[in-house]
Amino acid sequence: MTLRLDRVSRHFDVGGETVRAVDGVSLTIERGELIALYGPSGSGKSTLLLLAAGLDRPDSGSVSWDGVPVPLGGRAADRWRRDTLGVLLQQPQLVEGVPLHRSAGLRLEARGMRRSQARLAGIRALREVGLGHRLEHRPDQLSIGQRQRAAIARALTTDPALILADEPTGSLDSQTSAQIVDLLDALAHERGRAVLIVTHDPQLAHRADRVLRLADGRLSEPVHDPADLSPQP
Amino acid sequence: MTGATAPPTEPDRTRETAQWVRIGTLLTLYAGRLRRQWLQELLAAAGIATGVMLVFAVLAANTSIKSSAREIATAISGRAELQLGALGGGGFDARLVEEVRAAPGVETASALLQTRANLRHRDDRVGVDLVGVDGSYAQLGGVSARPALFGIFSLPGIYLTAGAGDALGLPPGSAPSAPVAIDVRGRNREIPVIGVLGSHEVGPVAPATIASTSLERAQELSGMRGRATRILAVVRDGEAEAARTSLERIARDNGLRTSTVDDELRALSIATAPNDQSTMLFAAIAAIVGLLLTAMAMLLTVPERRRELARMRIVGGFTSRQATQVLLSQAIMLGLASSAAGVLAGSLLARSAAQAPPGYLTFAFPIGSGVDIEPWMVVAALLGGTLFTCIAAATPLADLRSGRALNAIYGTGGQPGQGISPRLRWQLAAVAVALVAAASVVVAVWPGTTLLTIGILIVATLLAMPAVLAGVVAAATRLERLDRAPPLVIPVAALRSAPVRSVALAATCAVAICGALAIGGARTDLFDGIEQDQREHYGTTDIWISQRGDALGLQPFRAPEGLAALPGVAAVREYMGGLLDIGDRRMWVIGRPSADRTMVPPSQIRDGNYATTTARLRAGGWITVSDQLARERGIAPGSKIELPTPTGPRTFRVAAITTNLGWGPGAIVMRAEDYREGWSTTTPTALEVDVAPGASPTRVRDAIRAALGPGTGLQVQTTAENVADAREIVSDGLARLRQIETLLLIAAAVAIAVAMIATIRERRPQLAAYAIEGWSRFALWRALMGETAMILLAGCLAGIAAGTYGHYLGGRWLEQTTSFPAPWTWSPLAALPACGLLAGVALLVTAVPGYLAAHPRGRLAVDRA
Repeated sequence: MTLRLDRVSRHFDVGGETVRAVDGVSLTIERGELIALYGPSGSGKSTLLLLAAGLDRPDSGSVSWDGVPVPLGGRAADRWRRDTLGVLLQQPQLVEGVPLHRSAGLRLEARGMRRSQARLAGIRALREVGLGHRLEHRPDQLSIGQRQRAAIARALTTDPALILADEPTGSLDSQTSAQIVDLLDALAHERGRAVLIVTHDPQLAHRADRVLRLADGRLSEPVHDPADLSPQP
Repeated sequence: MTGATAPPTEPDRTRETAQWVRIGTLLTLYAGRLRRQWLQELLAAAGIATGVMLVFAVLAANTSIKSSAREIATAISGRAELQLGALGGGGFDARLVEEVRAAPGVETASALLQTRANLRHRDDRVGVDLVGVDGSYAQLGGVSARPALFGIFSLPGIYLTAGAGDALGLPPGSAPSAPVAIDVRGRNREIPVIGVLGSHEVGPVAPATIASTSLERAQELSGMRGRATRILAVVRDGEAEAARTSLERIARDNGLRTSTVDDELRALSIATAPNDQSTMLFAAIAAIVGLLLTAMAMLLTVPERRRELARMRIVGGFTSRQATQVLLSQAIMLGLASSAAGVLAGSLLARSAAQAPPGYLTFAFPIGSGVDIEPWMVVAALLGGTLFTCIAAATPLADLRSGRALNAIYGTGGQPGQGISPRLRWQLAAVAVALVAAASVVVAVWPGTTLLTIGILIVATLLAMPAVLAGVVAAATRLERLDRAPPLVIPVAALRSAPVRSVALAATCAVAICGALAIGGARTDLFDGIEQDQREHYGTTDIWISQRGDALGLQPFRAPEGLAALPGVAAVREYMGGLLDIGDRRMWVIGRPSADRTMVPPSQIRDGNYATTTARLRAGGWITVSDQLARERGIAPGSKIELPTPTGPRTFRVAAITTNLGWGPGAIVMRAEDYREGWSTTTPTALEVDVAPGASPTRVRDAIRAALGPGTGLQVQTTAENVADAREIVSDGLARLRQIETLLLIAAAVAIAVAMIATIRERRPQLAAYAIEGWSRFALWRALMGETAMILLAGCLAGIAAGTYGHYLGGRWLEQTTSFPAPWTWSPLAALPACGLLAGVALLVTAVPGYLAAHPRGRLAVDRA
């Protein structure tokens, strides 16, 4: 299963000036691959991630999953996001005020699963990410790192083939970042998911199978030696 | 003004000494906020404006009746200060004006004949005050001196004010080619309209419904040849006492009453007092609700303002005083601008909702229908709106206390600035219960504190709201545990994470429902009480004959002959009625034929035995009086009372104390024979017709109409038709209360909807995150609507409980203070219309933006990160 972006462009009109957030980018992510999209702030990384997730419509080019265009709207898009895609944000959006054991399985409920089954699946996923002892906790009772792990657990409940992560370690200390990266690494290499991480953290990029550098909306040549990476603003 | 010109970006010791921020800087900061948070500010402004609109519209509507009456009385009387008036409906000899003119201290005097009349033009009808004036009227000044009225004495017709002309489809400046039909005291004629006078010609009198003509023509039309009902007198400078003394002598000698022109206004004031008191109670409730809506709208922006305050303190280096100044200046700017918009909208609303004055009042007083907006109302609404905005906006200032500044940025539960701990929740609920208990004890002892108690009840409702909402959320959580229940987790989570916002919304709903139920319940009680009275009042016979439009049966007319001989007629009795000024009270006097089935409506007796009362009234020499008069005079059943009848003071014994029988100043019931003697009249003001057993009242009615012929000014109606008319009049009288109730609900619904839209917009990033998770648009929309529904449910539950108690208190107060019949009735379904209207409007208005917000751009979730 492959995510393919083919000469994808996305431009914005800002104050009468055209900003080429993504400009003719082509890339492919295979199952079992962990790819880091690396670049400074404003380089177009998040826009590219939204295009890859089918959350934004490219001005030109195409995005496909397994040869089929990624749906951009309607029920097909909802279904695709629920069944195929897992998205991790820098600030994980958990359901506030609700214990983890209840909220972790919500994606499955959105797919129509019975509440009791969805809850069990959520609890399994929480245990997988090491939060088995925090089942009764609400998001506000968790550290940022635990919240991020809870978000990963929630994404895992539907067993998505593609995981897109937007600066998943952006708010974390180095030790917690390492734990999150371990989890993402395991998802790609042990469970065969395709994982695309948007980051400007060279430590995270070091762990990727491939590092793609994005600058001014364009992909530059692949980074063969992660040691070449310098910290980005 | 000593210092800072711009917000410092870093803590700056030199700024620490700066005490005040310049006005220019404050404006710049607010302009920046408007650019950043324009929609939030706009929505808050809409909420504030809605609350102020409610307050202002109620104020304007409530003061207009009396203010228009004052203007009309002044315009009609001109320079006249004293007047002589007839005690009965038959008037007095108009030649008495010569004696008044010659009296010491009197500069000039003019005789007027004023009586009720009905006009018809094509299919339009209107009841008017027919005023006939003599040639000296122009010397009084006022409206009478206007050149437009000079034709009164020379042209053979009547002038109409614009209020009357409009009702007949005759705009000012026009005159119909065909004459209009006029019914006066049972006589029907046709008369040309000389002109319809607008405000250019007759100033403040224009909106009233008045027909004016010469004294002679009015006498001819009414059949009161040579009679007048009032003499207006202008007093010579410095001779007021002499004029008063001489007029009092003339009044005494001729069985008249003398008074100042202002007494008319005092009488109106007493007549409208019960209505005013009840309207005031309800207006006060509406005003409290309106101001709370204002505060709630502002409260919704508080979390964001807390964060901004914290940023100012921590990042911007503002001193506490400067931060306070910035926060309050923004609240004042927003409050003033929104309140001004609210005043404008309220004024438009009051004008669009302006209606004819309550029908029952027009029989006794010339009053207009204009809306009078006085400067104090504008100032009160502006200041009230701004003050409540500032109070609500000031809550983040608590963060300025030492060590609290970070709370706004690093909240520990839910959204920052939104926390209500369970302990605080229960403390607030306990205070609410204690307040209601204490206020209940106080109001039981001193009923005069009812308004205060209702205010406390509303405050208690606000305090109890966090606990009520927590209860609803707990119930939803239990429901949520069921395997196949609707997914409530997102709405429940939203309510839990932002309790201040949710409580503010639910409280808005609760306060509106409470106010609407208190007002609506008491209004229904009044309506039912007066309707019951009317049913019993008219139920003494099968058919009533009276002058068209004379619902109280006050206008005398010559009884047509031969009615008793008509087929189906069993008996015809003569009913007497009129108005009698006792002190400043213009009482309704009912003279009932002693053969009537009931002499006094049994449901209206407050002190006394019905059977004994009936027997005593029939025997003669006994009367019933309303309890306001009884209280004033210290009268109980069995006491004696002296009435100032046209034939001189007469003493009666009191058989029972009643309600005011639906007439604000109070009523007196006596035997018709006693009325005849006291008022020295044989002219009935209504005829009661009993139909023979087996005869149809409608057929007999038709037979009577046929016998009277098409030219009659009399109206023949069955009892059922009279009761239906009375219902309409009562409904008119209570229309203002209904308007307040409806306005209150709509204002609250709009405020809630506006707040929900603001809330939904703020949460779009979170919704975007849910959407990325694969939640469908419909599921998210359903969650948003579920959240709104839960807020409304909590608000409605609290509002129903408080509103029911408010209804009880309001009804009890009405009965005790105004003497209106208002028996307390309650139905569990009574709350449905109010809750349905509010919830329906709020859900409908929220549904569309909710649906749009349920499909947020994915970028919102990423941008937030």
